[in-house]
Amino acid sequence: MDGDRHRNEGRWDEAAAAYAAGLKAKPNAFPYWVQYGHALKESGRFEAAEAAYLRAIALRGDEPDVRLQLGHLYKSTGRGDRALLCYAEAVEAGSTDRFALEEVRNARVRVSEPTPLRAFDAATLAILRRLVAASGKAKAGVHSSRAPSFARLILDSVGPATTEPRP
Amino acid sequence: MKGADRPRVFWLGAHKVLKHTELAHLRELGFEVFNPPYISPIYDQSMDLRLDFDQPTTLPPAEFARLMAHDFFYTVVPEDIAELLNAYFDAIVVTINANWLKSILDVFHGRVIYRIYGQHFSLSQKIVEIGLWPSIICREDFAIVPFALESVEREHRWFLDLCADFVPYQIPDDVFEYTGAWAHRADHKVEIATSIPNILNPYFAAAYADFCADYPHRIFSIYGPQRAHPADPRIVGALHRRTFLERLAASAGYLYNYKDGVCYLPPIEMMQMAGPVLYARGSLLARFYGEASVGRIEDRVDAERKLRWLLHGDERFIGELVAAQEPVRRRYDRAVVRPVFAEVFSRLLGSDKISEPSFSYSPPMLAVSGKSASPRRQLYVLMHADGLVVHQNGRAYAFEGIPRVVDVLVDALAQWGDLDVTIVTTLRSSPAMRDFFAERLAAGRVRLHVLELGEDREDEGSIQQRLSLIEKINADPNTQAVLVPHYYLFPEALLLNRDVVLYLPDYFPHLMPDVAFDVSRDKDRENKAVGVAIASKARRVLTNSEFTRGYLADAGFVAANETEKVVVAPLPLLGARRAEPLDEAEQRRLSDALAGRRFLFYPTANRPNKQWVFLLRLFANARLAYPDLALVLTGSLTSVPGVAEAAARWEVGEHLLFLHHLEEGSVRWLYERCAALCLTSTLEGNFPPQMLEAFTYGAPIVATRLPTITEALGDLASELLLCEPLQLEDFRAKLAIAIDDRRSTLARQARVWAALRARNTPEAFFRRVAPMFGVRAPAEAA
Repeated sequence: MDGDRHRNEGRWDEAAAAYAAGLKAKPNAFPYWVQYGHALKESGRFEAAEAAYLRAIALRGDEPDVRLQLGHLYKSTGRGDRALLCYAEAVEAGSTDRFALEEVRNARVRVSEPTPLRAFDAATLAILRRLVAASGKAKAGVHSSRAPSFARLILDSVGPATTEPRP
Repeated sequence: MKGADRPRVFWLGAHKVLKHTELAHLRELGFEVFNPPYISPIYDQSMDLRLDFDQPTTLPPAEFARLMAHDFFYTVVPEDIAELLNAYFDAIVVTINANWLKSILDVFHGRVIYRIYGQHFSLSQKIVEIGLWPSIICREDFAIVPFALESVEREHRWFLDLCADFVPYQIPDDVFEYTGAWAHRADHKVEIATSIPNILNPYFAAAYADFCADYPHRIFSIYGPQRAHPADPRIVGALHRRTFLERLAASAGYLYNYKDGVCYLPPIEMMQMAGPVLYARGSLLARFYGEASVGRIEDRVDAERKLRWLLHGDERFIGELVAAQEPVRRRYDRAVVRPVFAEVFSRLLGSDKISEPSFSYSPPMLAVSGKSASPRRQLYVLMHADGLVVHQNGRAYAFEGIPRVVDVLVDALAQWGDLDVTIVTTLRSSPAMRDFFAERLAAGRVRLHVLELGEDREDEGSIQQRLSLIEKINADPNTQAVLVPHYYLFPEALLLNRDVVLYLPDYFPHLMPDVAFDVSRDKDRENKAVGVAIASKARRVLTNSEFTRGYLADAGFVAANETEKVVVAPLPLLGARRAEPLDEAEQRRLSDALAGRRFLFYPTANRPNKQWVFLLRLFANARLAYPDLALVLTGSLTSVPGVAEAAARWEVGEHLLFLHHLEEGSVRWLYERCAALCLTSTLEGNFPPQMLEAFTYGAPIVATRLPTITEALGDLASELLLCEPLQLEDFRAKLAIAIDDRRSTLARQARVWAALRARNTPEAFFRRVAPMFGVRAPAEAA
């Protein structure tokens, strides 16, 4: 289709327009939403790209690649915690992408200021959950180094533990 | 559909004897009883293999045929058969086997009665293992009917709470034709009868091996059906029933050698014939006799003597023996059994409902039924690690310090506080937790939050549940506080946004920096990081001595300027109300293990601070003066490197006695009999609980002069036999005083205890901890 041709030629605006036209005819076409998201991302329309990827995820929640792409989008736009969540979900859904695995395995989530007195919200717990799930996959996957313990994941998520006497 | 005029009952049994006694009796009582066929490929010598096609029934022929074609034993009931059970039966009586019970409870929604006759293993443990708990404790219209209290006394308490009535069972009717038959004979063969059927079965194979070891004599005849005959001429095998009873009447006597919780019927049949029965110590039969011991075999010498009296027809002995048997025989006499059976089963099968569910389990919350939605303020206690509370001899016990302290705290809160407690536990531990906190659960003051964790508490599913727990606690508007009773077992506590109290009785790695306390120094460091972070987050840190409070800042758990958040509450005697008198079997087990020897006692886990290498050296030295001395320990030599080697070096291994998982009553029993408590620890976080136990139970104490002891006792410490740390000569000399002058040692201890007792009461403990949880202290409450 036109969208693929424009995409292959690096003409991202035209590609986005072509995929949008295709989606009018087939609004539930999962591949179109993914490609539409890519085209929007490459053309710098990040919010629209995020929406396209999320629509694709809503259609096919079990597809790891679109979560991976959304993770890259977040990563490149400075939203590291959301990126990590997406990478973790991608790994959880079966992705073997080395970058995602590495990100997850080495995850040191800094979700907020590093104070152990902070109240944790549901989103933080959700991120931890996915990290734990993904870390189990990474442990069994291509990476041989040891996955962090549950205690270590939590310690990292709440900030550095003080083992010296405080003044 | 269901029995219109009379309840229709499904009897899952097929037992040769029960078919003609209990099943037949139910029909006499007016119930329509369906008797399914035993068509299982699994061999069972007790099963009646005849198909009961002529049984009286009002079931539609097609449904009757379908039920008769189905194998109900050791199988899962398929959906179509389950529909028949639910449509046509008012109640199901399941006999004997827990797996059969599970297959019925899984599919049948109506009344179920579980009828049991004694077993050689813990039935409650089996029910837990096959996954029937907790659904069984939440089931309505369900009852367990054992045949005798003695047969279930080592079952878990939750199991006993489901026992509606105790109904004896009778020996078969045909035996009554032989009443007195043994006594009527003038001549008896030179033969002692016994029964061991089916020795291909592992249980009976063990019984046979046990019997052969105890009784190699050729004068025995071993009765019971066999699938194969080993080369033992004593094995008779299956006989026609009449022939068997006649041979029993002709023998010189009967020996019952099983030592477990079962009582098979042949010895009772012998009693009905007025024949003499000897029985093994520890058997269920022995339990039935209580103190009467004329027929009890104490040991091999006793066995030889009593067997000879039977073979020689000693009239005096046999007369006494048979007279003593009468109460036991009557238990199985149909004249006694039938009225009880009729009354209980008519009531159980005839009433509208026989039981309400005692508990409700709406995962994850398990609470006493009707009180699960408590609106009161909650103290959450994190206990979701296995092994903190376990069953021992049917009772739930805590062997580690943490759950024993939680026990005291929960008791105190229930007695004086207005705070309810939610204990977080694992599914595996929940039966023991349920029993451990039974009174408080029943009163609605405690509920259990059950996490279905895997063997690995850090697998994905387990961690998801541990995090969900935190979400629930954070979201519960009734959460008053959370007690974290261990400094690193529950790192998820760092995610709590409620008031946290950390219990930190000690931190030995700070005081013994050269020793690894966990699997590695790295793990010690990670553990400490978790503990420091929780302590930092906690509103209060609970400890038990000024000594520990004094170093927690140096160790990094609290900042130097926030030591006031550390609350010192001296521990009372832990587990006191659980130190119940021992049953006869446990007393015998301990007595047999000790074999009459004097012994030193140190009930503790083997940790570096306990100094077991020194303890063993001291013990070896003490044995020079007291060669009969043994040392009773409750830990393992291999927990700390070098200890097992020390035992070998000083050649004391054969004089060490390891008694693991002792119940509170057993601990008390040992304190009351030991030569001395020998406490060699060089570091304790609190006043050693073993010393409180020794004071209470009257054991001489020889102990290291620890800061936590002198801090509590002041000048009174001079009354005790306290020794310099790891000083062999000091310990040896004071051990000699404790052993040789027990009376004056105990008198001095009594003076110390009189002064100390008030400091270490549950009330005093609670007065210190109450404010930490936002509840009023006892004095104010009063």
